[in-house]
Amino acid sequence: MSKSINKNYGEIFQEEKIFHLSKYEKNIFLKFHLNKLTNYHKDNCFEYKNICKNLGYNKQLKDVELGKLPFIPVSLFKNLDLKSVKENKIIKVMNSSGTTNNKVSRIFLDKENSTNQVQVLKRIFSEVTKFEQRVPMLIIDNKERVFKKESFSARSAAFFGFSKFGRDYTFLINNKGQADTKILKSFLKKNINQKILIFGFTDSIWKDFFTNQDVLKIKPDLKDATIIHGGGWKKLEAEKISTNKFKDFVAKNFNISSNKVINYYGMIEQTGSIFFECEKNDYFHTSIFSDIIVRNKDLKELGKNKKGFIQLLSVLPTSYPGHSLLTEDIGIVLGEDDCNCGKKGKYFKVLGRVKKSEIRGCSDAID
Amino acid sequence: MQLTKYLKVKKLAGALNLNNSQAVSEIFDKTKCDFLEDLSKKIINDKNSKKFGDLIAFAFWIRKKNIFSIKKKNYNNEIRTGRGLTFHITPSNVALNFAYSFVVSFISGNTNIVRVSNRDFEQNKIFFKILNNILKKKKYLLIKKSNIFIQYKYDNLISEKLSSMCDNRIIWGSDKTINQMRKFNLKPSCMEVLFPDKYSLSIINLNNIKKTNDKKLREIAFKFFNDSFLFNQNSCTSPHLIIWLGKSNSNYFKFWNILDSLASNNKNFYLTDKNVYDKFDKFCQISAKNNNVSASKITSKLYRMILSKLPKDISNLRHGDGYFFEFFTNKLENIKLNLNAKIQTVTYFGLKKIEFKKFIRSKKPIGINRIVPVGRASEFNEFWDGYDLVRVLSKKIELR
Repeated sequence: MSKSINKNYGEIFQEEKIFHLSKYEKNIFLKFHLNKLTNYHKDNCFEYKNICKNLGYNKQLKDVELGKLPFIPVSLFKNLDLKSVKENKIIKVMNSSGTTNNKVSRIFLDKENSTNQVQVLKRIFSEVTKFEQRVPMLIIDNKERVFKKESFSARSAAFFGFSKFGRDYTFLINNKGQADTKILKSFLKKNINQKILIFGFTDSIWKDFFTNQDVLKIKPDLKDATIIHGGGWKKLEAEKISTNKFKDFVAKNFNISSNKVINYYGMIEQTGSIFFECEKNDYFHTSIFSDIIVRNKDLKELGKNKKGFIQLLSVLPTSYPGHSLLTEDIGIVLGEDDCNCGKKGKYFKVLGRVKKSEIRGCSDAID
Repeated sequence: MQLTKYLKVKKLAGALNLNNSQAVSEIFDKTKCDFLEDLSKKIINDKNSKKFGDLIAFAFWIRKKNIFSIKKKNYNNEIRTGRGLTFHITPSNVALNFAYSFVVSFISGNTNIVRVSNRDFEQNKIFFKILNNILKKKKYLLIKKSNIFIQYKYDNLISEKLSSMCDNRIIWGSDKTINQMRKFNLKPSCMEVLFPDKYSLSIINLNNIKKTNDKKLREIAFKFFNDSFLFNQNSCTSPHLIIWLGKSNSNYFKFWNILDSLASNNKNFYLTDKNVYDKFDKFCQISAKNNNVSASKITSKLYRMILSKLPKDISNLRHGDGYFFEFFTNKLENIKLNLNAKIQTVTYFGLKKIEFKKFIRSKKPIGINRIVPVGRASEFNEFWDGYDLVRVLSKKIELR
């Protein structure tokens, strides 16, 4: 295995702005780094090299267009331990919650990769929230569940990621799994007229906070709050709760403007390069460190306004080959550089996850 | 005693009077053959059946002419009678498999309880509508009273009860189902016919492919396609591995091009988003670990991997949904395959039956059940998975 990708690689994350590059400039930037990253992972991760070989990438890559770069399915991290650094360099292993037959992803981080993740997350987060310093943070979750020792789960990862922007961490859910209104009241009282951050998974924040009867009785005034939530709409979709319904309900009941209720999209396999909704629309935005490509059923690149598999590109993953991933999510790119929020880069929507299909074949009589 | 009175099952057709042992008959009973002929005609003439190739194929298979030729070929002058009551556990995912299972036990002289999948297959609905109509005929009253088609949500109690009273039990996979069902006691005399998970492959002689003209090549590719893409290559008879004898040549590439366009243009070969994703995932999983893949090709519908070495266990070399493994060697004798593996069907082209006779005799491949020409993989007949079904499901009364 070779040395670190580049001694000064971390410098690219010091860019002053992160939503400013036009399509042309961003393409040059990403193409250069992603070609380099692909070669690096090929040289340092045996399994990844084998995959690239079978996908037709035998030689070193040079100037390969983003749409033509190899990509691997995000679920691969559930079945294989993929890493591009020596075992002794690994400082943290992150696990995702498993959806495919309960297996969990294992993401191996070295110090450099971990630092860069934090750095980039910070940059994107402060750009979106406009927070200049840490603010009191209310977490719609249970402390013990988040701090569970055995595994570093998506829950913990999300909390630790966002905790860098908060202080006075207050966990709303008690050990019985219920929202504790005493905690809520005292948190709000203590931080009256101050900017606060409320964070939780989309389904828990909806169920355990916004529509919780005890919370609704108090009707807390959240005019100074910014609400960050993510983790997917799957459970809410089943209850027919759309983004708009969600935002309207929250705005109406808690005196908060809907652009302060911000959904994010991201995955543990590409922690750091996260996507937030912009203040004008409920579109997710790519920063200069990441990109999205939508692919059809032949896995060919699609243009904007076409539905397909979401492929995510990120310049962050250096200790594991996760820089170009095909996800199980279906999405649609709506445009590039021209969102009326002013941010450059592609913006998109996530429409859901591919549905499990019936197995066809002549066996399995038990149904 | 009526079965449906004390078990919570949904009846689709027939009835079962459990004391009705007079319904057990000799093999190829005349009334039963008439009944099948009637059923066949009604299906063929039904305007709704036409859309379903599998239903029509079934109807042709049960024609008197075919049933008689089966009898004449293999069971002539043999006095055999049914063993009693057969309980069929048929696959959830394949329409009409239950019907074949039924017919083979029916003509072997047995009465039947057939558990049918809970899935709504259009062709099954048509089948039962026609069947129920025919069963109204007076001359088939005994048949109606001694055969029943049921559905029930998988339930241990019902399966246990039915298992305890049958004389033959037929289970169509999977391994999991078989293991589950084996927990229930059978009558000591009960005969079990099991179809566990199986793997199928093809052996094709490239020296013959090379000499084949375009028209014939298309024909072979089409046959191969039909074998493979039954149920998106998830049928137990669908080949996953092709062993090529000889060297690749221009017709080899043509063969794949034809297959690719067949897969792209066939409406029955449909992949969901999840299927597409899983196929790619499988490709990457195999690629990551396996150094024995010497080349691979992904076209819009087909995934192919050429192996430099056959692994000991080939049963993992399968995915379905248009995914093939290829291996090149020079002669049939040189195929170093674990012949005790769970191979069901070997389809072949460009080889003679006699070569396989030699092959079977010298290698004694206890894991292979069927060796049939390309195009006939899914052709059901009275010999299946190594069983001579009529003989297994009936008994010979010795008379000296």
